[in-house]
Amino acid sequence: MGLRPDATLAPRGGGSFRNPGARSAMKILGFLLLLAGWGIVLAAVVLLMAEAPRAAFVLAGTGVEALGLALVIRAHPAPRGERE
Amino acid sequence: MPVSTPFFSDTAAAFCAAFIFMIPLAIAGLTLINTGLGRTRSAAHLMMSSLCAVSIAALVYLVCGFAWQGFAGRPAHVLTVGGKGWNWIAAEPFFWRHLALDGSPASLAALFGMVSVGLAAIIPLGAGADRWRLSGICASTVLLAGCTFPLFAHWVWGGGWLAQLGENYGLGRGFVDAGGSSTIQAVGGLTALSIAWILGPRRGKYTNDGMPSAIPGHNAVLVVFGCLLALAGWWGLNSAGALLFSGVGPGETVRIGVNTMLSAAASALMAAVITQTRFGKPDVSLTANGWVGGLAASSATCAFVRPAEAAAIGILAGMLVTLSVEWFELRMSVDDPGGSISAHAMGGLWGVLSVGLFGRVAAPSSAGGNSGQWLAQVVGIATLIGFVLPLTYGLNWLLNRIHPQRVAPEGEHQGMDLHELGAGAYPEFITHSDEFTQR
Repeated sequence: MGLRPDATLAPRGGGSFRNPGARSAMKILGFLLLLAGWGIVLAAVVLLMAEAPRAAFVLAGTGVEALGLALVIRAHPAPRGERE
Repeated sequence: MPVSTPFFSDTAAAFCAAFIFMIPLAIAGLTLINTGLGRTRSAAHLMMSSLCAVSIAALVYLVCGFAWQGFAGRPAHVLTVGGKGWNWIAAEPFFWRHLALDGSPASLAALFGMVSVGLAAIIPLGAGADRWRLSGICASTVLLAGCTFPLFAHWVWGGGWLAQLGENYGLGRGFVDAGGSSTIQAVGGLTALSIAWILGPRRGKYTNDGMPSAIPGHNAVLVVFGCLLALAGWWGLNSAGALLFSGVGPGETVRIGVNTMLSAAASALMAAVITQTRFGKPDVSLTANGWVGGLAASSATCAFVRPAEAAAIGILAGMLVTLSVEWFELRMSVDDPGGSISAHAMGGLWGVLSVGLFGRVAAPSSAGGNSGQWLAQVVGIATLIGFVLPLTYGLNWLLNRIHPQRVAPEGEHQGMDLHELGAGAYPEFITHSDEFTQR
């Protein structure tokens, strides 16, 4: 997208994890959390019959997925100064 | 409990076939949008890539796609968990054997799938524009059309476990998606995100301090014409999908057409207003992304909401798409030239959720009412993010290890057209003098 630069927003992706090894581990952990969150959602649907606990555990599973997604995002490094 | 096979009258079958024949207009529209938002030096490559992706997707879908997607009431592999059947993949023979192409619902679903998998396959091209090799695009399309799309489409449209959530667990009517907000848009959009991560941004996109540089699209005329063309395709997509998978009659397609149009219109106007407010002038590319995001959101909801609700869904889609484009580019450093991730993944996921929030979906008498519909939709979203995203990322990551998907730096500098095709889209116009300067 040809977006106009906005000086109030600074890029953050991966800024904290410059070490490639740490980034790989973070990425794997993030994807495992995504799968674990999905597993919690499935387990809630199968094992819980009452509406409220089932909904609570499904939402908790999606929360775990959100955490995993955040880790995957952080694990992808922000590029710096690649000239064309 | 198996989902019953819908019955089609000859009239409904004829309507459905006619609507399916309109879907290539959506493919043409998205192709023009992606091309217009890319650079001149990669325009022919993107058009060629789209044609190859649609062709490969159709052939792979013939070989194994429909065999794994199937259709409600036809052979499938079922696991029993806690006394309930979990229909997880179809068990059709390869090459559409045992499928009579006679206008039956299953044959129409196969035709619909063959076209819609092509639509899903061109979505990632917008995210990988200007740097994704043609061979990589072709190989990635094989994975999408042969694995990711059919598997998830079976769960939603083939009588799979997501569609059975209502029958088995009393969650409304089960996961509902009339026209493919999840199966086509979200699956394609999440694949686009994976591709953008694996390829990395275009050279020169980010400065030394990490700020993105503006690389504007080269042809706003193509972009806006693509938007209008896509609307006609989406009318066909949503109408055919609703007839096949949501059990609505041909008369309901009027409402589907109105809702589709309103959702896109409201979304595009919202994007124009936001960009006018933030930047002082409305932005063509973001307004186009808003239009496509509204279309993507309309697919799931078109058969289940009133026109005013469709407009409201579109307004929220326009906000979501416009802000997420900025978020992906500035905060996540994801370079998505065509805005595919925001328009298709975010728009599609919002459409799926809005069925649970706004939709009036008639639950079967055996289910526990309509109260759990929103939860069924959330389970579908959780499946997309928790399973489909790791699956498509993993498959494309493996592919990238075997066959690198990003073009060499000199190819990116020269342009994909000259580097990979040997000729540009606009041979009579020299627009980049550096391509012809001896280095």
